[in-house]
Amino acid sequence: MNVIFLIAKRFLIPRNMLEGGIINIISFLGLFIGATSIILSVAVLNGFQGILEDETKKIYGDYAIINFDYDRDRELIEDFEKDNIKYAPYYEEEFFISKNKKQSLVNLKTIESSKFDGFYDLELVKNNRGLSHEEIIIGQSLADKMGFSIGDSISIYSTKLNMSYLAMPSTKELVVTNIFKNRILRSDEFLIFTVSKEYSFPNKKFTNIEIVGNIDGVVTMPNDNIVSWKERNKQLFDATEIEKKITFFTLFLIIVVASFNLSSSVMQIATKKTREMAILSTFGMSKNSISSIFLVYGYLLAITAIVSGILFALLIIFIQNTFGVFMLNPDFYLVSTLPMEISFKDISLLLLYSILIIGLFATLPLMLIKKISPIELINKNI
Amino acid sequence: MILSVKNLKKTFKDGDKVLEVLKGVSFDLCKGDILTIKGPSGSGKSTLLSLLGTLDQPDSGEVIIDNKSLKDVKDYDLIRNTHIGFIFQFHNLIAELNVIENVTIPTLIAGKKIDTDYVNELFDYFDLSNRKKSFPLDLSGGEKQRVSAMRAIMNKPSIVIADEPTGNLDEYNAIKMIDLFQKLNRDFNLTFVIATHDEKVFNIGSKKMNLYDGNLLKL
Repeated sequence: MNVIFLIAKRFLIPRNMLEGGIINIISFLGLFIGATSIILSVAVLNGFQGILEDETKKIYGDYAIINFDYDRDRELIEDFEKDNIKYAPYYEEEFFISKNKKQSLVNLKTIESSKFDGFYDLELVKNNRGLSHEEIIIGQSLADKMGFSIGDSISIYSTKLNMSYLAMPSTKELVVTNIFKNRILRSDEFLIFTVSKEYSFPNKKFTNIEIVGNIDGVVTMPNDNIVSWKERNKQLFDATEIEKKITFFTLFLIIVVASFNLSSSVMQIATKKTREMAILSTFGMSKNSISSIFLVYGYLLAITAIVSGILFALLIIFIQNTFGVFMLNPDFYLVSTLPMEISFKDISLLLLYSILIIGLFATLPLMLIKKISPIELINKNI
Repeated sequence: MILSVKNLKKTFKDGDKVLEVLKGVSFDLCKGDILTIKGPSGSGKSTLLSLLGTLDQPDSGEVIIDNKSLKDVKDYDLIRNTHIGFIFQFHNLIAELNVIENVTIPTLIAGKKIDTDYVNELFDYFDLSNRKKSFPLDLSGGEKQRVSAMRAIMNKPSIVIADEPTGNLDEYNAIKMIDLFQKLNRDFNLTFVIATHDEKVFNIGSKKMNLYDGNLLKL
């Protein structure tokens, strides 16, 4: 075994833990708690972000072609047809709904009738998923607010004035055939689904196309004409990303503070081991190698603590995802158990930043160690 | 000649005062010699040993070990590791390492592979085979000093420097240590430079010198 590693390991786990081990245990705990906190917090944020993504995709699909132009995008549609990629042309219009003096502004999403069935993964109150041009599916929040239930007939009024009818707004009579639940982006407060009677694709009325599935092999991405569900809800997902980053860096302060502690441990152990440093110097160990012992000591302590913290957090995540120990109120949080997800990228980032910060703090005491001359050590200690 | 010392001088500053500790020490040793040095406390014995052991540098003069002048040496660590063995008044074993690790430290520092046969032979020779895995705290004073001696000769050095090697031992263990030095000298033809207050140790010297007022006087 390498002599530097051997001695560093023995300094780290002394025979008398009460004498030399307490400092190590305190430093270990600081870094351990820091790593565990970061992984658990990021896992919870990832978990909620995952739910947000899933729910958003149910409404918006995976991709969309906004401002669809048949001449421009025909090849794309042909590719989708060829590769059995599901797509749904639609157009959106704003309408007013009114009932018993209650009014609400809604977005009517009219989908090409042949493409609606099985396209959107909506969580519906009733099993029946079919939809005709006289029927609509409304959101649960809108139904609760306006007092609509399945089977109700409702009138909707266009927000645009129709000049050919003496400036009267155009109206539609529609029947509520189903209710969907999706509180992400408050979509069930304003979104209404129906299918088109008058137009069929590729009529120019269909201004947008939503796509479900993986198009990586079909379309070369990035493609200027295609936007992902994430880009369509950029503000929301940017906000969640920022929240995740802020949480990561705030909790990383625990690691920084623990690194101060680590630095003081390295300093303390180096001060206590000047006799050993003198002996090693006498037998020909260079100053750099002696310093390396304390650097390796610091790293061994820190990496063991951080890896243990990560493993402990992963164990908690596994237990939560398997047994659902931490319960939530689904009325508030959409899910009944705390969602937790962690990625290799998150763990790698934590390790990378930790190694950098620990490297900095473990190196600080070495500058002092290097200033000590062997003869001084020997005269003082031997 | 295994060790040649020529007109070695060393001064220390104590505030405004300059203390002339060594005023021009010279001597030669052949392989297998035992040089014992005595002198009152503060006479410069330890300073002389530090200079011979490359732990400190002289103001002037020259030390030649194994035909190599220390003036030409850039890496003193390497010289200490390969040419010089140290035995101290206190055993100075590393408490966290077991006996075999303490003994093999000079070889590990050199980055060389441990010769297990040689190590086993040494342990048999020093009668410490059953103590290989023990830690220094579990050893008696005599055993600790034997381990310390074993460590000093581990890398087969040109000279072994011992500073008051029996200073911390009782009479029984001191005698055993003296016997050991003589045996090592006989069996391995080892060269020793020993600074001591102990007359019994002083008397084993094939060359005996007294360091007095910065000068080395042959006895």
